[in-house]
Amino acid sequence: MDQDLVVRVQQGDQRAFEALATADYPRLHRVAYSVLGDPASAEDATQQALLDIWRDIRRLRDPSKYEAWAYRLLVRVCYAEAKRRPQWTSSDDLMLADEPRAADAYGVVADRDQLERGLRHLSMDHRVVLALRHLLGMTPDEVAATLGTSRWTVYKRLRAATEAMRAALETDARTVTPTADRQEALR
Amino acid sequence: MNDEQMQSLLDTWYREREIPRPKVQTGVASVMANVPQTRQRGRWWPLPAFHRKTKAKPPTTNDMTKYEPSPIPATNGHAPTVIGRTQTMFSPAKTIIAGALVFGLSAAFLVAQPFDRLGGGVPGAEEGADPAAPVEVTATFRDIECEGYDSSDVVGRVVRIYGDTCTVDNEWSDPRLEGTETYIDNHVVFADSRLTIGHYVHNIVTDDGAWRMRPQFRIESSGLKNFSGTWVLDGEGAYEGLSVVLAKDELDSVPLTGYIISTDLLPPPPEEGSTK
Repeated sequence: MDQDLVVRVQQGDQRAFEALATADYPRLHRVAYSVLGDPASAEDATQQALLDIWRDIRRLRDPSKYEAWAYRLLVRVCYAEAKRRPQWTSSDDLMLADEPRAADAYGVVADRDQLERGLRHLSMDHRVVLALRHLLGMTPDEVAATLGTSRWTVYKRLRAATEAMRAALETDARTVTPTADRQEALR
Repeated sequence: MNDEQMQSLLDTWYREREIPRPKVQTGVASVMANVPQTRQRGRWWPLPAFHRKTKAKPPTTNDMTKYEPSPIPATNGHAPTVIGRTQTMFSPAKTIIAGALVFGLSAAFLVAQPFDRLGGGVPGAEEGADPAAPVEVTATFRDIECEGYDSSDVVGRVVRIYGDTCTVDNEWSDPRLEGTETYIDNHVVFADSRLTIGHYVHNIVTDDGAWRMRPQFRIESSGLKNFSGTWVLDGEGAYEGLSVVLAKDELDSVPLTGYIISTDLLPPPPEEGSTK
């Protein structure tokens, strides 16, 4: 991120803010969609987060920390948006329109649809930590700093979220390919 | 699928996941339409932030008379010319005065200490103090390292994880609790209802003994968060007869707080079938 741009926005330059918003919009939207799962909510959250950035950017003392600070504002807006629209309303049509990809390197049935279903069953806290960790590649310490919580809490949320995702994958896999024991029991 | 494969799968999926294309132009236009009515907030602290100044650059010229003090000169085999102080800073008079001051202050602090605490600062820890008095303790969380778990299985839409083991680093206010802390958790994850129920222990092994926690249930769900309740750790070895009762914070973001107390003084559980 261009720090000069951030400094200009801090000085109230609206043109600079437009350039900043245009550059930031896709990445903020990607995180918002990963957390909220609904295109309309993600658009609303991204726009609200950008407005919050404009409003509060003078409080950002170190322009080099702009990205992490912007994500913190976005996560806060996503929580508010999720309260306003509590239902996970992921667009199934959009998700299932694409042909499933070939099996991954592990040879398991972990395709995108199963992961989408797993994500839909997660709580807001768990979706947030997964997005920050796996989409943005933050370390647990960075996730903790972004959320204002402890590393231990982040760890526990990550564990629970990953296990729930694994449950979604493994239960679906069992539905498709019953084990020998179960086949035996069905006879 | 093991942990490493799951992490890798999630990394790949999140990065390659196809999501609806954002409406950047209309979105930014909508934001910009609201910008003129949105006043930028100033800093709550009006003065500029204090930053550490960078060190002044050493002189780069050879004219050493221009700058004092000088950097260490390159000797090139010759004895360096010392510019500045050439006499010792040691002064016997100042040393005696400083020593007297330190002695006087120490004596003043000793005299000022309450007489009932002269026998030992920590009640219950030393002879002469009231052994029944609870000693307040706090622990501040520093770090956690997790090794993985012993086993897991899936039954229907439920995942069971057994022996999820982590080493925890807490900073304790009482040295008797400083040691190797291990957190072991068995839990079930109900995938459909976003619910996790766990049964865990948190043990501390020190050089002189150990503190064993009475197993504790925990519950996590989207509505409930994590109310871990109260921990009770019973002492072994040098701590036989003592227990630690701690209040566990919901978010682990504030220190654990509680008391070391004589185990005999802990009330027993109500008798089964009792109505009073």
